[in-house]
Amino acid sequence: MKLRRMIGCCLIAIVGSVSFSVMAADGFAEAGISDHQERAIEWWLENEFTESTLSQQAQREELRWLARAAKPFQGMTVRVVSERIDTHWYEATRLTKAFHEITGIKVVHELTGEDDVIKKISAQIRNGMNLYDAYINDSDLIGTHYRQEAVHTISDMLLETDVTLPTLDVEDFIGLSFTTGPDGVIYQLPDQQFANLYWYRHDWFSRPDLKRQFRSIYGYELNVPENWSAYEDIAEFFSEHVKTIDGQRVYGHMDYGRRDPSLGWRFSDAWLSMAGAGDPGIPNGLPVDEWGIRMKGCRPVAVSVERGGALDGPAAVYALDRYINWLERFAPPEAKQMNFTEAGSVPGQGNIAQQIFWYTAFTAALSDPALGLLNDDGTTKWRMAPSPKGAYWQQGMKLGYQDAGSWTFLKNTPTSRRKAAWLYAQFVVSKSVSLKKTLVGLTPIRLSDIESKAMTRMAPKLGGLVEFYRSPARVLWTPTGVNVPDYPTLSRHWWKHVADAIEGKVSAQNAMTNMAKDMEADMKLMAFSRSECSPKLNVRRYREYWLSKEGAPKAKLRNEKPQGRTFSYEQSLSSWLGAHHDTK
Amino acid sequence: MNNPYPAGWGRIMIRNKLWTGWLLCLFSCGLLAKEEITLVTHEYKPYSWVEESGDATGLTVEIANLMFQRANIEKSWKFMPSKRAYSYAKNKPNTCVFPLQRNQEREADFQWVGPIMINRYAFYTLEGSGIRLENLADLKRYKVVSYLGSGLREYLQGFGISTIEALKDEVAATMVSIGRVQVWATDVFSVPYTIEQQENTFDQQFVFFTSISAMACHQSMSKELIDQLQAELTQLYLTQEIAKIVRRYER
Repeated sequence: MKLRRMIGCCLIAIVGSVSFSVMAADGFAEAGISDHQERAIEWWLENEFTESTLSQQAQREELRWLARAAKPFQGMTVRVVSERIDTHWYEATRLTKAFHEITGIKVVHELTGEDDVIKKISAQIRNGMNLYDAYINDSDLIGTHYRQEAVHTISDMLLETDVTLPTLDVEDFIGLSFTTGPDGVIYQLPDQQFANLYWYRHDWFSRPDLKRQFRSIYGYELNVPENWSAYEDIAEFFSEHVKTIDGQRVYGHMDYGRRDPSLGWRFSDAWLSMAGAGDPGIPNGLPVDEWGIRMKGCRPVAVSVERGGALDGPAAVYALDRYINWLERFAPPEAKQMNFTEAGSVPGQGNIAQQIFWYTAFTAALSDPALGLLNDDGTTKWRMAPSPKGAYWQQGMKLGYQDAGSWTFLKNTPTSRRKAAWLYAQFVVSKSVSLKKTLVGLTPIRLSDIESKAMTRMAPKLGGLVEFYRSPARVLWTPTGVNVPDYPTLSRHWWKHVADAIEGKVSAQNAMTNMAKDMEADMKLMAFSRSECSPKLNVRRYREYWLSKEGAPKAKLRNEKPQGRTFSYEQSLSSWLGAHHDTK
Repeated sequence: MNNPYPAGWGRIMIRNKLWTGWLLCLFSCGLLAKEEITLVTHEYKPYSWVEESGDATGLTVEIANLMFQRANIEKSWKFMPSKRAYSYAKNKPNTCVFPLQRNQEREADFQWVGPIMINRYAFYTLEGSGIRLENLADLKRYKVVSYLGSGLREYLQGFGISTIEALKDEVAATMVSIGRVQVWATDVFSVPYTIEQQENTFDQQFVFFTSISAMACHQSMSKELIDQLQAELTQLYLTQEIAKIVRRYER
């Protein structure tokens, strides 16, 4: 066996660098890039990066700068990894090709499950292996990165002027607050963002016959639900009263319940915050956040109610109880055995009326004409709106979750490899590329893209996505915050304990109490290099001590199902616009 | 391809050292119960195979032997096809299967000790085939073969890449040699062993996936035992023992 390819690659790299020098000397010394690279830049500008907030000349200059900065790394192959969504598929299959032709740096952009990304970055931090040169890692780990100090920060990278794009414009990134630590240091740079919102069939909700029927049963309008009571009524209405539309069995709710890591994200992302388990305060609730973690300064001091946390409080139990109840009563029977990936495509089958928790990352997939969910004019039959709020939710609390997959570099990556990967990272978020990437994957990261004419043109066909991202709400839907001291260690508890309750092995109360105990046991062993922010748990007290105090953990409500309330789609959009004022 | 096992392999955070040390102390004092474990694996050079003498040998077998020996836990070996090994360990108490790619779909089925190996997977084509592959999108035009139990079929199908499975990796290579399929997806480290008997030569197109292989143990196994094995494995990395074993099998 001759592994000719590997040897060939080395030869190409050597020959390539020699020929580059010759070409540069022949006539491109001033520009510092070869005619091959110039041709590549022109080809990609004419054929791919046709939508940009920059002029074509400004794009050209930006890409030329990248080509010049990449010179010391030509012939290198760098390895990066991200989760598996449309945006990253576009990067892995299209943008890597463009970057290689423009810069001479080859990128292997691997795609895998989010859980796997977290395991790999943890393995590299723990064991010092150079598994990847960069990770697109959710900003949910900001609390971990801030405390562990294993990350080579973006703030530091910005000082490396030889490899940092002068036109990067970090202030233009809408998710920068998610990736900045309490110390003001930017730890990660957003690559793509998507939110969890309410999703519903606007066409069904607009039918006069269904509106009449709903009002006769529930006494109020069939519309976008404002609270969980209305969501539950609408779910019951479609699953148990309407049952079929145009001969097809329909359901008023969709979720998933298989024992799988993805089950945990549903809860750790936003389920408890939607129910209202934590305290008011953006981004995550203070002093108790949406994981039920109580903070004292930057130090986590409790998870269980007995120590002042809220993970096993009445609001959290209510949240899990509703989850199970709706899954069993209103979702398709197979939903209980599904995971995130399997469940994601179900609304596209056309038999789901609404989904309380839907990731906007699926916007592109659900806009596929083949699904039959588009009107004749290309607008969607479905809409997205703010998720309804649970009985414990209070004004000023976090409204939902946002995933901000962000470029993350580790200190134990060799410098040249890290720098080459940083160039690729900047390329895929650069203004030359980002608007086109946004139009493909619909996971916007730059304010300039969101406000572009191209997005205005697309808005009617995106079911509310543009309206959401143009409103102040885009920073009120927040990722997991700095309170979670070790995301990889603590997040593994969610899916195991939630699954115990879904499978009926324990009650909802016991599942949450068991989880709180496991998290506190882990926290007792945590000691970070930033020691002042390591957990130090409060002493245990009677639950009533904390439940009788103001704020979270909140005492059990006498009525967890108040009157259902709905509002029109237009009013729901207005609530996004007014979201900022609500939280002041 | 950059080596995932650099000289700095042994670096680890202080808290992990303390945790590992505490666990090892606990075990050496005999405070935790010991149980006999059955290790299930399949023949796949250079990771695991049975010698003429009947002894199990190979890279991952050596790692497991060291780990169990240091933990002072009795064990026995069973070889069986990879798919059967998976369900055997999933259903039988006191059993572990390895090496197994640890991924999201399998996470809930076992308790895990790892990483045992970091595997890189690449696409190979017959030399002179004229095929040029740069990323996964290029694969959609071709027939791909992988070996049963590698997990590659499931991974590639997730991207709409049609993949068939051969019972053994040698068979997969042969299928490419005789032109039944054009692309072979396999583990880079094992390729020199797999193609020993092949007359044809292969071109590596590109490495497309990295996986963490681990030992997957039955759900009922005690947490203490899992922690003990994990602590011993971490220690093997810290002392460079695993890096030494890996180097001996490199070709």
